[in-house]
Amino acid sequence: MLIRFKIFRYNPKNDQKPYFKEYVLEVYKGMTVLEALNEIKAKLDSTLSWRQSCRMGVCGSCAMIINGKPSLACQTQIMELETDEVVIEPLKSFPVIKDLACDLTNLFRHHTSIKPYIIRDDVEETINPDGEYIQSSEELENYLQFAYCIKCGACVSACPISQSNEEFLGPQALMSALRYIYDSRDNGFTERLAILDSPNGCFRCHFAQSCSYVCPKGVDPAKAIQYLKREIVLYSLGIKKKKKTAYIEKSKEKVSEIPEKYKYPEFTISRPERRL
Amino acid sequence: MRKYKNYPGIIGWFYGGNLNFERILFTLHRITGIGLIFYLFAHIIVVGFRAYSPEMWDKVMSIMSGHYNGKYNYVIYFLEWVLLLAVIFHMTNGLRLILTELGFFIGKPERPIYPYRTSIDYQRLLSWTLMIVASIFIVYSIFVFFNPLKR
Repeated sequence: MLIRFKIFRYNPKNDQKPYFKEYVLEVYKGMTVLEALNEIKAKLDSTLSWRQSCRMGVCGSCAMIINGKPSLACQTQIMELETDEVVIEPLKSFPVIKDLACDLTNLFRHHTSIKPYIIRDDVEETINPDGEYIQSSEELENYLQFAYCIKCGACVSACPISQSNEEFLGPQALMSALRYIYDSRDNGFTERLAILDSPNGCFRCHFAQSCSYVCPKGVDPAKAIQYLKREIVLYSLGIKKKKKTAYIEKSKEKVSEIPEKYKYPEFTISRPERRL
Repeated sequence: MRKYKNYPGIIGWFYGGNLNFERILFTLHRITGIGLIFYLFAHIIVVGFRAYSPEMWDKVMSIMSGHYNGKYNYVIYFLEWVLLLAVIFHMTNGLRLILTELGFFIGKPERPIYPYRTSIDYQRLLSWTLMIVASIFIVYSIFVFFNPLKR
């Protein structure tokens, strides 16, 4: 079956403005958009550029707008689109480097701004851990859905607020914030509050739900942001439940000496000292 | 290196691409919200005419109610109905937003197992119900506003 591909082209060295170029390609059942792009590059136009890595929906590199919907090119089958023409554009809300490859710096800048790591009151334990935090499976289920994010940027591209405001944290960063706030090992809600409750924080979201609609991993950022709003409202009203933070279970029986069969050989290089 | 800035800006509010039903509600909520803010300013100016004199107030009120010098002003009458539409939509959709933003009707965090069930599916029924409620109010308003027997 012959399908016409209308692909966004922009080369910063030669082009003042982006334009669309058409390619006609024979496609087969099960062929993904990413495979088609590879075929176009191999047979029709070697100058076409995009970003890809794993080819199986894990790395999140190949997110692009396919027929008006931000999706992963490696997960979108051409036959399932049920059209004769496939329009491929780079993600919106990100500057385009060349053709379909865009600069995701803004996404990661917002992601790091919400402190995406476990924050504990016992700093000494975080740096020099001497045990593991105990977490029940129910506590895991609380945040597991939001931990599946692959940071492809599809949600930010679909978000109408991110499209009009570069400084809005965006669905990905806000969802990551909730992932850590809901984690029983984390204690950093108040530390993150300043950025989450800022004018470009979670209350800038107006619940268009496009982020959840396009998320290729079913992570549901819209749900996370609404829960984040609830947490902040409850905190502001002073009725937020105090979080039970996970504790460390230390071994009751102290192993005085390692049995002979488990002993490891001596280090051949000097072991670096732990620093606080 | 030069990069192409691919930000749709406010145009993105109106056309985001091949997206979901709630996106339309979002756009309408923005339009009606901005419209209502402008109405509030106009309302303050109109009510402010009372400060001049009772005669001035009566004159302005007769213009705004659609009757002036025995003539019927259909444009103002129609705009008044459009204002009511905006209020009805903004009110019903606002109720949905208050409920969902406080964590109701969006489901609990769950494992994403394909086919994914997201917050869109959980609150879709609420969206449709409130839009049907809004439509009932709008149909009723047509009977109230445009009933020829009442003229």
